[in-house]
Amino acid sequence: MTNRFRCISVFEPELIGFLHMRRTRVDKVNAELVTLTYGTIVAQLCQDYDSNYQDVNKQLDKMGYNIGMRLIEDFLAKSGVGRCANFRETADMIAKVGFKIFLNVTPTVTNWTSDNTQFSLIFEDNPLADFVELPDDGRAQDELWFSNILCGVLRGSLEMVQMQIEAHFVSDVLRGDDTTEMRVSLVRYIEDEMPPEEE
Amino acid sequence: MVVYSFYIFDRHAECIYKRRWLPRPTSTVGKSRSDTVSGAAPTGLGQTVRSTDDDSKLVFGTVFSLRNMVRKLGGEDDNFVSFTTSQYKLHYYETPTNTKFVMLTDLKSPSMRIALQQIYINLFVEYVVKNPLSPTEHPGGVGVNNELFEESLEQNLEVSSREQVHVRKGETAGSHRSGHIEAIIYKSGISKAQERHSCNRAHTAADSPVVKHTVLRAPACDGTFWREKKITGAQHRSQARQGHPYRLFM
Repeated sequence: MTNRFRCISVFEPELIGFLHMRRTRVDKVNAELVTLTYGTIVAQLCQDYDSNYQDVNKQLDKMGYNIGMRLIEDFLAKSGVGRCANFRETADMIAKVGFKIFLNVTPTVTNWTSDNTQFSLIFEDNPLADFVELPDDGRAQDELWFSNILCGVLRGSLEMVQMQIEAHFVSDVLRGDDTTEMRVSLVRYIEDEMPPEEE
Repeated sequence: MVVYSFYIFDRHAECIYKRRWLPRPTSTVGKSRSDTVSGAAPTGLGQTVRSTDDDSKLVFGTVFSLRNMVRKLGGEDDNFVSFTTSQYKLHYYETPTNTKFVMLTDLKSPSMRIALQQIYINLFVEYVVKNPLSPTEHPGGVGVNNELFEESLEQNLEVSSREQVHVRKGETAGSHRSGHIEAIIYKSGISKAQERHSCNRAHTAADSPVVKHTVLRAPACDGTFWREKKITGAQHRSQARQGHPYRLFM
């Protein structure tokens, strides 16, 4: 699989120029701006929840979920990729295309279970956590998952493409672990919804 | 080519957007439903047609079943693209997120699959999905209520028909059944002169040439949108208000 960004360029000649055709491109944004913005959000949440880090994790996940539901549409529109044949392909797509487009990192997909429903993403580089040091209150190191928004993003975006998943961090370099690892497990494929019965 | 109607269904099988421009031609068999459709008054610009819910439900049921049938017969990767009846052609495009785009046009139209895909990529994603304040889910069929989306859609799908002008001029409403429908597809690079020329063809001699310009600007850095709309020709403006159907613009 290629991790290069794929442009959508299959237009019939007479349709070129349709709808103010805008060339598909990846907009760039300053990485530090993202890092600082995200850091501010987490800091604010910690303050709002009185350093109840479980709640902060939950809130980050929820925010990510809402982002993911929109982001997937942008991803599909930009990349023009179709449906993945299986969960392994999905994992590669997430790591090599999704993360590449939006965060410009390529986490490693590893630790598959034998039934191909669970895998780990290892982040060598996590732009969200640059410059970050967890609060030194003795609890943050054990309770706060700083980049938990990413779990929500994956959950939201995969739900939109009919996959219910569960994602959580199992280790984070910010906590002093060797790697930053996220565990993703497929719960089920969501069936097509039928319109409600006429009464 | 004439576009009769356009529908968007979300992944919960909810019709989140529907828009009808022209009545479908009345069937001589005299189905009661098509009678009500053709009897409906022409609608105003930017205003969604009041119609029975049945229409969109029927459309959804049809495309849903056809899609499933196609997949059963041709395998998961096979796609249902369009179907044709003696009266109209239905075009279908589905995104991997199960959002379905359906367009009904007349029989002469080429495949609109790419047009529908472009509506998804350039209009739906840009204006609806990326609008942080618009809901991602539409429980109870609240639907897409987005001015930018509607306007750009309008701009890109402009349908014109001569007989609607007659109706507007106070002729009997029945006359549009016998009148013939004329609409044109333009490429976006069309020159003003050509445009004017074709407009003259499309309208009766009494109608002034129509020159229409609309500039849509990209979002500014502070997140606000500027829109400049310039429509020259007072008559055109009044036509627009009274729901003059537009040409299909490509």
